[in-house]
Amino acid sequence: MINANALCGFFSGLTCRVPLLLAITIIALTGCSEPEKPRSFFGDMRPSAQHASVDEGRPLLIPYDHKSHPEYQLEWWYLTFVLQGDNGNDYGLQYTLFRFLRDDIALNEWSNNQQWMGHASLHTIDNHYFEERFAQGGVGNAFVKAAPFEAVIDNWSWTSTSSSLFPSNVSVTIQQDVNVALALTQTGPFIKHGNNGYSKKTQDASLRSYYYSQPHIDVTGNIEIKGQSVAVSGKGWFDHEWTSHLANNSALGWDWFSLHLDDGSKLMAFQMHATSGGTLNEHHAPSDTFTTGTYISPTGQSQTLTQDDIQLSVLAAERINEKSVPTRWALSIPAKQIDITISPFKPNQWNESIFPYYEGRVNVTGSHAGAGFLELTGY
Amino acid sequence: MGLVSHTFRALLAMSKKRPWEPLLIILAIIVANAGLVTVLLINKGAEQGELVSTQSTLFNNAMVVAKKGEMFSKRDYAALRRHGFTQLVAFSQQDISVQCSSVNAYNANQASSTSEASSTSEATTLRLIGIDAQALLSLKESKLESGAQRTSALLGSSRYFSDSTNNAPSIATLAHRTIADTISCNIVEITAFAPSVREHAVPKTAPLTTQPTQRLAISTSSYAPRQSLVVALSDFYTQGRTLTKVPLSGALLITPLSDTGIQRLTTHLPSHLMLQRPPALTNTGSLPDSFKLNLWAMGILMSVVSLFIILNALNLMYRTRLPNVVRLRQLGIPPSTISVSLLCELLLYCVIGCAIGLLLGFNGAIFLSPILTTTFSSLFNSLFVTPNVALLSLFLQSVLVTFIALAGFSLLSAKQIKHALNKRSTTPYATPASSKVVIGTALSLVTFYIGLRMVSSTLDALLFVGFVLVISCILVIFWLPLVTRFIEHLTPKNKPILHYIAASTHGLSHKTKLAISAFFIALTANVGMNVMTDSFREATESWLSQRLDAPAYLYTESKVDALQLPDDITAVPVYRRRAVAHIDDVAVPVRLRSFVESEKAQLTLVLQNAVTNSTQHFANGKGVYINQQFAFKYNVRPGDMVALTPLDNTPPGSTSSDNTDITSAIFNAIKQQQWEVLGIYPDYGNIHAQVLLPQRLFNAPSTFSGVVSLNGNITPHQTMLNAQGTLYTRDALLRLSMDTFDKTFVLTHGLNITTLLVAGLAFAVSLSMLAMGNQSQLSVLSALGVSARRIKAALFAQYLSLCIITTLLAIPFGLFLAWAFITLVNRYAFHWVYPLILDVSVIANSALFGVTTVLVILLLPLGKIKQKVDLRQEW
Repeated sequence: MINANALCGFFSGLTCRVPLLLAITIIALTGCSEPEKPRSFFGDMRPSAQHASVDEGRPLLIPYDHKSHPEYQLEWWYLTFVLQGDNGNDYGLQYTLFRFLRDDIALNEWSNNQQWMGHASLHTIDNHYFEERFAQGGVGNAFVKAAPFEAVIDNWSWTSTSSSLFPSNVSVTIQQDVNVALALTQTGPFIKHGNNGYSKKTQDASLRSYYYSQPHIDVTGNIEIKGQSVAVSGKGWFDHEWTSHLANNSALGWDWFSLHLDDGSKLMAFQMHATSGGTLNEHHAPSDTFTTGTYISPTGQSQTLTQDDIQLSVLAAERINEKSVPTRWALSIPAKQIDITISPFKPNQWNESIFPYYEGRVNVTGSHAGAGFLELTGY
Repeated sequence: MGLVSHTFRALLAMSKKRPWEPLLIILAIIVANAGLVTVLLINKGAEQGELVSTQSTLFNNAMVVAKKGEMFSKRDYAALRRHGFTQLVAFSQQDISVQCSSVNAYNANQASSTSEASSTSEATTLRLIGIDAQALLSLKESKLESGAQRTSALLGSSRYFSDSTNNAPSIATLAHRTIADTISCNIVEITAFAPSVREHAVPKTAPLTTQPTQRLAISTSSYAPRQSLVVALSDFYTQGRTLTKVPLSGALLITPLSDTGIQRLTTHLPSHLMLQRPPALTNTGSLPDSFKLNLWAMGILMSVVSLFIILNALNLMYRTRLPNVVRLRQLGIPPSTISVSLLCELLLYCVIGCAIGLLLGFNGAIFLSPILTTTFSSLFNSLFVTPNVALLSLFLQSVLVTFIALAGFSLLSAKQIKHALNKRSTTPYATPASSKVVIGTALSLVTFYIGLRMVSSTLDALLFVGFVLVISCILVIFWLPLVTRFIEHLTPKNKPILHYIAASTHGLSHKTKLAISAFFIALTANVGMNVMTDSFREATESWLSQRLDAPAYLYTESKVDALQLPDDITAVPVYRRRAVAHIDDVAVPVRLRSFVESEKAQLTLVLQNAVTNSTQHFANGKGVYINQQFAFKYNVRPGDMVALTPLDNTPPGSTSSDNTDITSAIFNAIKQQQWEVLGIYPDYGNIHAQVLLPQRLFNAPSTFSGVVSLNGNITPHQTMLNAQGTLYTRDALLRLSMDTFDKTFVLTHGLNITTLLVAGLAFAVSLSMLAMGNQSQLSVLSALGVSARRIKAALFAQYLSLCIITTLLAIPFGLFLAWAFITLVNRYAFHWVYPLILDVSVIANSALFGVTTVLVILLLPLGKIKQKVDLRQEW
């Protein structure tokens, strides 16, 4: 259950990820002066008739929709990797590019009305390296291009030689410490979540998005940390999501899982927290949760999971920055004979950005073994 | 513990019985603390001001700019960032006119035109700087988190996500706190002249575009450069500003790069871009540092003098208490208990004295803040902010330091008294041998000379001044007995009272070393400071009188080509611009200033050093004049050659056919020449190295400084001229300048007088102690029938003699000190010198003031001498 106090300065969304800048600004402007009052992490950002709508009738097309959708309010390309080095060490890596459509930017020659934000994060068992970047659209240093595919912010890039996302290369640096170069190849099909990519975040679909993933990515490459280079290999997961329906003051946060299980199957699950009825609750009413997910079989067949199919419960929480953050979970899907425990790869996988949130590698034990990523927002 | 408490209470009872000594100790602590705290706070204010003005702007590091005739484009910027140079932040800038509006600008614009929206105050020209706020937000290194990121957060997204959704959209803007007053209103941009518009001298109220004027939501930040408004580039390129009309100025390096980073960046720069390294340009000189050093020197001087008081007062207090202390010992109280109790008593005095001193010092600094703000901005061109310090911590530090000093002194005094009691000297004081004193004096003069040759910095100069004070003080202590002995010999013995006075004065000269030292140091410093200040004032007045040759001057905010001047008035605008001077491959920041080429105008320059035919060479554009600051700071002499590279905010060689072309032409004219230094002129009050160049090279309106000298009869046109700015007649300007000058030295005068008063107090305390020691002699005199009045007169005469002799000895040293201040301290701290002017009245004033101060204070203890001396009280 979301603590109302946590709502101040909280970013939320769907399985979507972290429009941090919006939250950052809210923090700066509100100074967290009214922590008890639930509010959307999108602040006063509101959907407008000018924004394109997520419509169940509009099909999600691949590879066409790898591109940017500037007419939608929010969009992100989200890569997470569970890697193992030739030194035997495990690593968790994240590279994310966010795009926002801003209505407040007047017509000018410097930029267009798109804003970009990038996050890069590397977890070793002992250290955490994190950096975030911001850029305005139209300047030329941040963009997503369809053909050949490129997702770029400054010198962070994910580039392919064609309109296909794979094979491709990822290159990121983190501060002066980390240099990452990875080669990605695809080993299975893209997965459209929800109804053919139309993904409901609440029962009434007031929160919704277009959402697809590529959970079948093999990765090889090199990570250099403070001059020490290590060859790595492992698995990757890619999410692409866009929407104009998360800015209605009801989206409070979510718990999101992307798991690679040892039998070759994949699992995406999320638990969305939203205020009742999609309207701001002035009286501190507990938020509603909406749980759903997608099970992907070893052969690449996907099945959308409903609230009745999946059970999620918190086993333990960590105390991070004076906040209780649930980092150990039990997840069961009886129909798939899945009964697993999800534990953090290491304590305190907290992204200390201007606006902090939890994003870290997890280990899976129980009926299945495996590894993956956990994202927690709104805490 | 109980014993200590009882002893402590006994000591306090003694203090109540004789409050004079403890009060004196407390007073000395108050004076020393107040002085030092004032100095500390003033220096803190100067430091904070310096930080605000120089160390927190966007422009502290190198920047990538286009080469001559090239452009820095958005594409260049994106390419550099994609290469990983994320410390680079694109920027552009333009001078704009802003105005306070009494009506809601946005609403007014909704209804009407721009000019209707804002029309209630005079326009101010500020520099509008556009920066890539998003790139700034990305930086998360060290101090930048609070600077760059806050800046970016304020500029970047505030409107869209603001809670105040009902408000009209406004441009998030940052401004330096120095213009907080200027912008503390509903400010609107009323013009945004494109260069092409400016060239044709369109009246300043004409809006560039038909877009509505936008309201500026301004926050102050030390991150913004002075006299500027900082906005996001996406806001900058609105209101008709386009990348073509106002191209990007370049990309700022927000964090300094390592040598490897610089090398990597240089390698990646395309051929049309270059790295410009301007760190020296942000160096405002060492003047605030020098100011701080000067203040510290004066504060320490005051504290030293206070220590003399404390030492004397402690001596006095211990002597008077000794019988009681002996009784305490007889009662079986161990020495350690008495010592601890004494220390507790001193701690109490420390707490009281420090608290009062701190309050006085704090209020003094606050009281002086407005004067200092004016001083710093007018004389130093630097900032002074009202200091912000943790008073409690300061108080605890003061108490600790004072107590340690006091405890040390108390041990010293106790030791002296113990020594005096154990061993009573029966031999008279030995006057030092004349030959030894002469040799010592000669050696001292040699050390002065050697010290003089070694001075090469402000600190050296101040240390030298301290050295001179200490050595001269020692010399005076040795010379005084010789001089008084000589006077004693000259005094006829058949005049017993007179001879008694002379002999006693001689005797006193041995016993009053501490008092004389304090008085001598204070008086020497006083004479030195006064003569220096007077010389400076004379030099400044003479220099200004010669330089201000026009009957009137107009100070205006208007553009030079927008000025409307009567036909019968000849106006000479003053132009200024920044530049880099290259001397033997060393690049130094300089300010260029226009100067009329005519021979008549050049006669107004007070040249201290010039090559032959300098006037013709200057008129022919073959050479330049430089100020003392340039010459001294960078060791440049007449005849040397310098290369000048003007710095312009508009990229030189910009393709637009407008004012930029003129700028480029001038840029090239100045740049493509080696200039001979024709002469050195004084430029008091300017901390910058300055170069005078012929007027004809400064026709670009953008370099107009805002000052126009007006020749002709201005009387009929005063109303018209005043409407365009502030009009000053030559006399009014001179008066204003000298008033500013005098205000600047209020502080030093105040400290000077306080020091002298404290010295007088030290002198008086010392003599009061001596008077106690002389009680037996005075009793004898009294018994012989000499009246108390005559005894008082005789004593007064002794003290007067001692005081006058000390004063006479202090004057030559004071003059030497003044010379050292002018030729060493000023030379290295401010990079200017001026002639030493010996005005007898100034010296006499100092001397008389010093002697009078001491004598007035002396009258107090003298009046307390009892007419009948009870010999039983003698110990």
